[in-house]
Amino acid sequence: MPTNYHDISFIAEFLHTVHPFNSLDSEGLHKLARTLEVAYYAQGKTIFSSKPAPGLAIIRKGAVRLVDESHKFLDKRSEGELFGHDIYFHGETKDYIAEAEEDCLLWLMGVEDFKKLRAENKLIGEYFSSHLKTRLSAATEIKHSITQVRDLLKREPVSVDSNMSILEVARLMSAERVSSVLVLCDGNLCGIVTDKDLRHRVIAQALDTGLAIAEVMTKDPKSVPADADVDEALLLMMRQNYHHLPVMDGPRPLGLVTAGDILRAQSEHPLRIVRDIYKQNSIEELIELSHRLPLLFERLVNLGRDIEQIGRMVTLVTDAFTIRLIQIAEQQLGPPPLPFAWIVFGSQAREAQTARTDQDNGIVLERDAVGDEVTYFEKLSKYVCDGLDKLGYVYCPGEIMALNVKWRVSLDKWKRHFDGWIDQPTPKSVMYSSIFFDIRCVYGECALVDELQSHAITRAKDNRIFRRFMAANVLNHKPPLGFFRRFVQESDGSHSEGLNLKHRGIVPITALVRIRALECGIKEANTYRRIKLATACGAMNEDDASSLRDALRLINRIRINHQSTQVMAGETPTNFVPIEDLSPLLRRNLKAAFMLVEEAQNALALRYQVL
Amino acid sequence: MFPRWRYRRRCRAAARQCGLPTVAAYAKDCAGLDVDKLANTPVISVDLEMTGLDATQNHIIAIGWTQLDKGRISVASNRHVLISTKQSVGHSAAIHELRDSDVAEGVPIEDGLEALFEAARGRVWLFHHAGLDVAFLRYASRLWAGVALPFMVLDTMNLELTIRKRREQPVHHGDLQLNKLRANYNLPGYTAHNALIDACATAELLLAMAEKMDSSGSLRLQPHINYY
Repeated sequence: MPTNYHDISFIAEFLHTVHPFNSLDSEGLHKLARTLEVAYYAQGKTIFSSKPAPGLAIIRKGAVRLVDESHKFLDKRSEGELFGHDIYFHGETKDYIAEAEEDCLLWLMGVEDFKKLRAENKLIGEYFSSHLKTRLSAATEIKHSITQVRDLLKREPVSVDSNMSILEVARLMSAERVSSVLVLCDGNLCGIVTDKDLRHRVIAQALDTGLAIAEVMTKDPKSVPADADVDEALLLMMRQNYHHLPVMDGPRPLGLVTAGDILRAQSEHPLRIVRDIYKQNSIEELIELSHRLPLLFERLVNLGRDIEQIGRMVTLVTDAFTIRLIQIAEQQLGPPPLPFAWIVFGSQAREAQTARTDQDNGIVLERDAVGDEVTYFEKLSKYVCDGLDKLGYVYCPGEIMALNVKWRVSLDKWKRHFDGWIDQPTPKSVMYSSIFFDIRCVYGECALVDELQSHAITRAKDNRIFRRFMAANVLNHKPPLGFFRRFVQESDGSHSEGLNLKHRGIVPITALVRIRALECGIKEANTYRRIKLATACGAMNEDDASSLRDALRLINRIRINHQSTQVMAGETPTNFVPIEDLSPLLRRNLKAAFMLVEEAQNALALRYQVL
Repeated sequence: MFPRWRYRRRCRAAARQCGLPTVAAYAKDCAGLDVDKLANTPVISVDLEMTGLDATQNHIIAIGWTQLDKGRISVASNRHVLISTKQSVGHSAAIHELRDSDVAEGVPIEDGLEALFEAARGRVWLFHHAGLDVAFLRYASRLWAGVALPFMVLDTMNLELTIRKRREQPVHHGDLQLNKLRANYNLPGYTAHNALIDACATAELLLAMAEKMDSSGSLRLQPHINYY
């Protein structure tokens, strides 16, 4: 009687949760299952030594301790994890002995079958031959269908030469029935003209239509490559308030997309709320809209959006609420008496917000406010901060808000704040630095913020002692590797309190990357982009950069999924993730991610001679 | 040694009487079968699904088995065989979740038994609560082979009773259920159930019990054997 899938599907089902076997299709899983033998080892028994090669063991139930020849502890493995193969302990392979920490049910694969499996399956072969860095990167690859802007293009772009007259261009636009054209200078894209431009810059100004179109075009428009992600393009347009975006194939314009094109293509795009926010005229209406936030967050997560983009999209919504509140305040209070910039710090600055978030903000004034000006900004801040609180962005417990007069000062005073922290590093100033170095302008005279950042970064870049203090502070946040060891012992079902993924995972990575960014004088606040820029400038090597990025993505993915579940259950989202709730696969990867963070911290400690 | 002697005599008699090659081979090997430590004893773990509890009235509708060699279960030996029967599964469907339509896809009982006894050749049978399953197998095999085939049987339920008696532990109602026992031995719980999964679950339980009864791995099985 031949075997059939039914015979081992319950085995394949479990294998499917084990990394890297989850990359196999059903046929591959069943083939693999047939090579396995089931064995039981009572607690305390030695299972095998890694020398000579014993093949591969999958822990179906129980926990295993790996120790070296002198019985020193190396690692612990639990349900759904593997041993028997070459294992890297702190970056190097070692011979080890496997002992049953608890009663163990194991699935064993012989040496020959293991060899064959690796040879026949490229992905699995790579997994077992490579360092955990490469493995983690494979684990964070999340399949999601990205639509490229190329797919949205409807027609060839209508383009004109920059010497063409305004009248000729307008006639061409009518004939072609388009609302915008691209302008080429010597064959290269150098401008864009829309219906609106003709209305505002030509007719309303009674301009001579015989002039060259170059006179009224918007120069050097922002463009995106044809393979850009649709969401990326939309983010760009919404952030910069562009309506048309040229799509390029190298230097050649392929066409134009509009925000409308994208929103129509993805009916019910989560970011529709951003447009709605700008249409509201009162705090009450904004509060009404904010009720949609939990659902929006859940949709962003469950649509399988790229993890980096979820943070940016959530932040984009927060920015929109902030900007709209400021605009409404300005309508009520009148135009501002002097130029100012509204700045945000922390996760909003880093564009890494999730479901749970409070407000961290401030105001940079062009100069010291006097008399009525003081009252104006006091009222404005109160309106915006109170409004944000009502929308669910609760007051910052550390009072880092524009509401606090200390963080509502002139550019000069801000500079002096930074000088103080940088020149006289104390624990408190280092803490402030870690908040205020992640800074982004969301409204007003952003040039003020740019100047402040240039000033602060130059100071910090030249002050090695300050950065050494920052480095020492980074090392205070050790990733919780011990937690995983403890966890194995707690597997009797008693619930551990959970792991704070923000404080133990994201804060250490953010802090690490912040220092690397300071070394290069990078103003960018977003951690992923900081990693990219710091690598380009040489402060991080490619390997470390991609490891940290993968680790951050994984930790964020777990945190955000967890919060999404909480939000949907009507609970308050937290950063505490009960490890019991994670699959063995995720647990294993999370541990690997923490190990990478530890490695990066050790490298930093070495560089700054802090231990 | 009386039961063992009688078992061997029945094996030899069956081998002489039965013309079916599979049965003759099974009977011939069972006469020479010696039971020692688990590591040296080939075992076949079996579970049946039936339409009821009466071996003479009800039918086997599924047979699941797996083989143990040298103290390890070989996943490649897993088999799950559905048996076609004209008898409706009736209310028993609530227990084994096999419907008449599933059973209709099965093979005739003769083919199922042929494969089973081929796999059981030279092996000790293992069941959890052997009595009922063995009664069905004896009845069905007599119809098929024309002789009452002998069985050398290990029973995880009996093993547990022996262990508890030895430790003077009381046995409460439900204590001996397969899943409850497995949990006591830190074995994973299976959410799904069919004849094969239960056969595998029983085999794993035997491994765990053997380790627990004698951690040196040299538990002698002979005192725990029953003959049918």
